[in-house]
Amino acid sequence: MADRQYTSKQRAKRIDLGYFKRSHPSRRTRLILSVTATLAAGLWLLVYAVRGDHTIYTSGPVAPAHAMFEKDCRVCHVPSAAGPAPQTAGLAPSEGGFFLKVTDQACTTCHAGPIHHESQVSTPSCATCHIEHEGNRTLARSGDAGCTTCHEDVALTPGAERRFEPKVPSFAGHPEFAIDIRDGDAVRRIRLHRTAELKDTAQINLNHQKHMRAGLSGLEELQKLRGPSPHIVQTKGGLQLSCTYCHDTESTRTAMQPVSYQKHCGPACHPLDFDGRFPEAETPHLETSLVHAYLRTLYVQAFEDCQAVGGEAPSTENEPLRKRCQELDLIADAAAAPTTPAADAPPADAPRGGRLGRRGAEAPAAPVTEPPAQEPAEVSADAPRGRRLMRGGEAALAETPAAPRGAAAPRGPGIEWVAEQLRSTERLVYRQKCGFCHVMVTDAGRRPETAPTAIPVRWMSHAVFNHGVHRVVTCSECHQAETSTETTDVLLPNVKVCQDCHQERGGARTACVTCHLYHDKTRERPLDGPFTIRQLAGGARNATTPPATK
Amino acid sequence: MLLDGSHRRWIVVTVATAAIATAIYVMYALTDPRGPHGGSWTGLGFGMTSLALMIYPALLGLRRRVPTWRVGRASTWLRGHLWLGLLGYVMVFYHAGFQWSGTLTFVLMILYTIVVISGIWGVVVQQRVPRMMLEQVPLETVYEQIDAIVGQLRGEADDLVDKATGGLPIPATAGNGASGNGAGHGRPPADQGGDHRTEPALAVAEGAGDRRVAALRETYLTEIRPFLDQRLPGRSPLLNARDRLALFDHLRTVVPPGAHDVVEELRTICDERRQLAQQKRLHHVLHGWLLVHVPLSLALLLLAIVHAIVALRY
Repeated sequence: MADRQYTSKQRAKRIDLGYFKRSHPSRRTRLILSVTATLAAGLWLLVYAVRGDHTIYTSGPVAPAHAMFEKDCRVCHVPSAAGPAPQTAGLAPSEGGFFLKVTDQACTTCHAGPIHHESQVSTPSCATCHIEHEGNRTLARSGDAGCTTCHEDVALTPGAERRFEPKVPSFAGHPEFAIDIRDGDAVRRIRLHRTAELKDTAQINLNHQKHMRAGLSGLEELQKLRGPSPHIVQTKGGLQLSCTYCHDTESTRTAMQPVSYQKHCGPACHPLDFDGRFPEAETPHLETSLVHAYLRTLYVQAFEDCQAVGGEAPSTENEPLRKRCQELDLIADAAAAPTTPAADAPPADAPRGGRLGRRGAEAPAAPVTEPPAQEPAEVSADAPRGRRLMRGGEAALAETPAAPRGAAAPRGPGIEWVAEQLRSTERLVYRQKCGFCHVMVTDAGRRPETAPTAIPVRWMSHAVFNHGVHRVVTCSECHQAETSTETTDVLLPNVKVCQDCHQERGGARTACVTCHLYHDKTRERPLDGPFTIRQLAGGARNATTPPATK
Repeated sequence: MLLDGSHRRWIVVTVATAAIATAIYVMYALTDPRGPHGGSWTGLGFGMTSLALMIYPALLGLRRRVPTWRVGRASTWLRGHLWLGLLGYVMVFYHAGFQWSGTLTFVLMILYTIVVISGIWGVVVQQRVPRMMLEQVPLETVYEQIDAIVGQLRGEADDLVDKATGGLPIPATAGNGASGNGAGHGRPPADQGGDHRTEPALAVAEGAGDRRVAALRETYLTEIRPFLDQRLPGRSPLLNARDRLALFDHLRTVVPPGAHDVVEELRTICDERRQLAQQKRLHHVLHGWLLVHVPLSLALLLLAIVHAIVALRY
């Protein structure tokens, strides 16, 4: 079968030679689509332009902190030359000039941006480190390059003292951590590898090893008293305190809260009881002058009560009080009148016990001096005995806070008795109770005082550490507390410990800003900002009135 | 456009330029504290280059609209369109630092990607489809004239069967005949009679009776004529080579020997119709991508220019 064949002439005859002059549907379709696509693109831009919304032109979403300015580029992008006044830059409408850049002026309208260091030789622009339009990120989390540009080889202004490591190219090359150690009034910066100089100068006596021992006595009592605690764990050796029993973070989980006597030390483990004859009484965990006031009030009250009960007939109601008074040697027996107590008082320095008096006897020989000279010894039997005279005539007693309502001041032998009780009890309290944990400061002729503990809130003043984000790691991985017996031990981890996890390749973050802040936050501006809500919400369009200058 | 040896120089230039751009980008990405981004000087350089390489390919359309312009040969422009367009796509990645989180930049990247992919598809089909056309469509004609020629073929077939069977029960229309080129094929116009009846031209009608003639007429009207319509039927034995062969073999056995020439002529007409349908199909493959490529290129160009202006301002 022969297929159809055409000659050129036949072909030409079959074709309408003017076909190209007429529009063909395929070409028409292409034209319509081209026009439609172009118009659609233009219309899209037009809709946003009419709405005054610039968001489509951004190279990326702005950071959450600047979200309210996202639609108006001119809030931050201002003419670099001949721009608005410093206090109005940013929110004020920017006119003139084709090129609109983000100037430092626009940033500092809202942010203080304190200088990094007084002796730095150059200051980068804000936008060098704080890179916008990268979406949901914290602008302060700038890259290492912004830091290492200077810190690879730090240059200082002429004459400036070099206090820090001059070359820190990366976290892998980070020098050993340094901490500020107080040496009297001076503060020395010492790196953790210089162990000979590394002494914790906190004025407190603490043996971590002893506290972390399994089977530590008193923990059963503590649990009975306070109930089960997740911070007291059962081990083979018995109950054991975990680190978190005493050490807890504040609400942001960044810094550690100071150890509190009320919460962590007493009264279950280290009660401040002082006299077995007052089994429920404990001195307040306050400064020694207040302890003195408390004790004096207590003994005066006891004396007055005994005087009162001594004149009454024995009964079931006053039996407990009569017993105490007999123990205090303030009455001879149930029917006897009050005795003169001074001669029968127990020796001044005899331990009085209390619930944990035995432990008190084990207290180390703390540098506790004798009670102050002006204390009860100065109160003589010849001192004025009237209530009025007692109030104004004796210096030591004059420090005492007002006695409880209804309490009668002791008279005559009562003063001597109270003075004797105070002398012996205070000696015991300051030496065995306060001095057990605190360093006592003694000064001749003055009452001993506890030295300020001076436990640093932050050891590394140039870095921040978030304990919360590290809570998956057991404390002893970083803090060798289980073997520490001395208060002077510094239990901070070396940089190598951090570098075990924080590695540039396949590890936790190593960015400088993970631990360090650039701006000096102590120089931040006050919270009272310069703009009204209307100005902020309106962006560049509504900022017709300049903000009040702060 | 075939990718032949004439493209070698373009390929070398494109690859070399891309390599240099890559080296610059790597150095820039490693040293820029902020990392690669469109706002840096290097990023802006890449951006302006890519915009230029976007505009140049778009000028090909203008060049084609005004073929008399003495601005180089069209084939050279087409090669440039192909390779510089690809190079521009690479430059856009370096300009953006492989990030396009802004709305407009994201849309631009989507558009550019579709345009490039559709362009690459166009190049690929141009390597294959013309050869297929040559092999499968020996009777290829001007694409825009396919419908007209199909009309001619049907008119030609109508005439054949009309003469052979003594009349077809169909109205004669101008479309059945030659479409204005005076070729003389096709049914007579309407003024010559609609459902006209003539004496069968075949001697077969005398001895074999109307039944055999009616078989030819019936087969023509039910199977062949619909196949010669402008729109191919969804189901037809003529769409399939084996069924087509069987149909005409059967028809040849049914009609008297004197009508075999008519059957053979109908077969060749159907074969030409089939080729034209195939040409149409191949043409759509060969040029269909332009329906995506061209409109989106124009939208891309508009948005890219706006992006450049706004980005430079801010």
